[in-house]
Amino acid sequence: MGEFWSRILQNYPYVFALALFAIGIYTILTHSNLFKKVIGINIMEGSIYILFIAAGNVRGGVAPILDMTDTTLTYVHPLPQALMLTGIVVSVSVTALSLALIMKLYRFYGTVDAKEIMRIRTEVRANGARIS
Amino acid sequence: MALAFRDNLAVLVVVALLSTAYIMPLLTKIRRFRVAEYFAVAMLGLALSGGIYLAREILLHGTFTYAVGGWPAPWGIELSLDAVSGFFLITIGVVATPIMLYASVDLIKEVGSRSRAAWFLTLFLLLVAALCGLAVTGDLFNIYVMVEVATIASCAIVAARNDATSVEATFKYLMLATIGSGFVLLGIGFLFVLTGNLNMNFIAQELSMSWQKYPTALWVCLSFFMVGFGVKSALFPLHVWLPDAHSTAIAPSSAMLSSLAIKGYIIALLKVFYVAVGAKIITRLPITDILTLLGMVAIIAGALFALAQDELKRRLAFSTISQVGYIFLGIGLGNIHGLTGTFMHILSHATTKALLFLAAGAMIKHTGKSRISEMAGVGAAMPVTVGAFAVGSLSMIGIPLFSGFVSKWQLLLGSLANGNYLAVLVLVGGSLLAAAYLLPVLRMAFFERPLQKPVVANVSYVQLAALLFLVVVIISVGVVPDGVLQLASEAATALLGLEVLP
Repeated sequence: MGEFWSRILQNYPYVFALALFAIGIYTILTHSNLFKKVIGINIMEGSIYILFIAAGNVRGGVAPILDMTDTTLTYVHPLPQALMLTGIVVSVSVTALSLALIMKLYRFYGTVDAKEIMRIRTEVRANGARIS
Repeated sequence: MALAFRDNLAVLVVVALLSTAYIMPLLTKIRRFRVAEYFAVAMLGLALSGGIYLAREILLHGTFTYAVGGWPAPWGIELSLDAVSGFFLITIGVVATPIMLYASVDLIKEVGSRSRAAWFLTLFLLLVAALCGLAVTGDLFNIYVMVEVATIASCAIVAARNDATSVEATFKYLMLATIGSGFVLLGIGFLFVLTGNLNMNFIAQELSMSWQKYPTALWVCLSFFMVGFGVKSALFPLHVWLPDAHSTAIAPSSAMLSSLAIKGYIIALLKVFYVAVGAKIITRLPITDILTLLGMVAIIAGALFALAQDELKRRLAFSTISQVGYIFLGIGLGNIHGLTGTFMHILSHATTKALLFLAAGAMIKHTGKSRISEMAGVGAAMPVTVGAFAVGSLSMIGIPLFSGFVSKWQLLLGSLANGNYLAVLVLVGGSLLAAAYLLPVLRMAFFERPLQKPVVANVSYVQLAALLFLVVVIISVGVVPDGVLQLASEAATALLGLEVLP
């Protein structure tokens, strides 16, 4: 096994995170169901949390709470974890906003399918009417 | 004493706007709605004067930093105020205040109900606060948070009118903008892994020593930033959300989004590229060539798309894509004139496009016609409004004595300094195309004979005052550009890390 593959194996969380990121974006861009788009966003943001947490991890490290009695302990990096708490808050608010918008879209168009909404909109525009 | 005031003012601008944003709904409950609106306008005016004061201090005494909460740099969040921050704070104040003044006249009627209007004020002020935050921050993760606040607020003010088309446009905008912030956060993660820092000055120090060890990783990371901020600021192939979002929103929202919101992301991109990574490294990577190329494509393609639109607000929205191309072209040129041109264009496009969208909003509202082909005789019905639109058009085209000329002239000098004659051609061609898509509106409004005699429309004096304020800014920047130009070139010098010119 070459050096390249052994390094990939050592750093597998990053590969995993980038694969998830690609899956998330693929889901957002290809699925026409609006709920699946929101799920795609959550997959994408989850992958970034993995990347950050993996970057702050130290093998054999413990939670970063200072223990004065034991000086041999190694601690994981606390900063990425704190950042990702903020990231989770942001992603929850984006999810909430998009779900609220889906609710409104369902009231206006009676469907949660992006293609269907596009079809209704062009039909209505061709008739020169407004959607109430 | 004076120094303490100056340092605290940096964070006060953001905090004051944030807290004003959240008391708006409460204020509309206990006082008349008008009071809340004028309070918002007054806060924006104060932010503008704070910005001018800070810019003056920065010009006189150089850059300074502020440690939020008293925690010094590697641990706490650091605000770093340089000429870039001062310039963008002034731009925000100059544009947001008249937009708010314009919106205050008939906000309740535009968005549907009193409580919706109160939340609109909240979102508007949140957006302005987030943009100010982007201007002053010196910390990468802080940039991410401010970008997210700005994104969510701007999505929500697109949907302010609560009708089917604007909600659909908002959803599309939200999805693409979230992909954009995903890329930005990934880029921040890469920079954090490479350097172990989130403070931009520390990242710059670290990278200048070690970037040659991992050029590929840095290159990937910068492409993430380019795509992420590119989606959010509608760089040409990533612009698909913009025309719908900007043309279906109410006039103040469109003006705010088109003129300021996308500029905030451009300032963030500039800070990441030129402050965190540094001009020395950026200009050695092919990323600047890509930005120049995309900028040129955007100028031409955006203008051609704009020509094809008959709906006035859609035409203005596509014109934004073309004008954003100028800004990215300046970033890509990477020399002092190019970056000065970028900053000048940020200011001149912000004022001009706000003026055009507000005037177009008044024209559409009072005549009930949204298509250019139906606008015959509008000029006779509302001469001042259409006159303001004419000033905006001339500035957008880049006629001398208007602010658009100053920025395009700097960009032209920058292209010549780089020996990039294709860019010179594109700049001139873009101006001709801008004339081709804006002047027909004026011809239609002033010189075409209407079918029936136009009724003189009563645009409210407050809205006219807002339009005239922007007209005065555009013309005064065009006639006496010295002070603004000095601040812009100072900002460009700071980004390039050059010695200050005598």
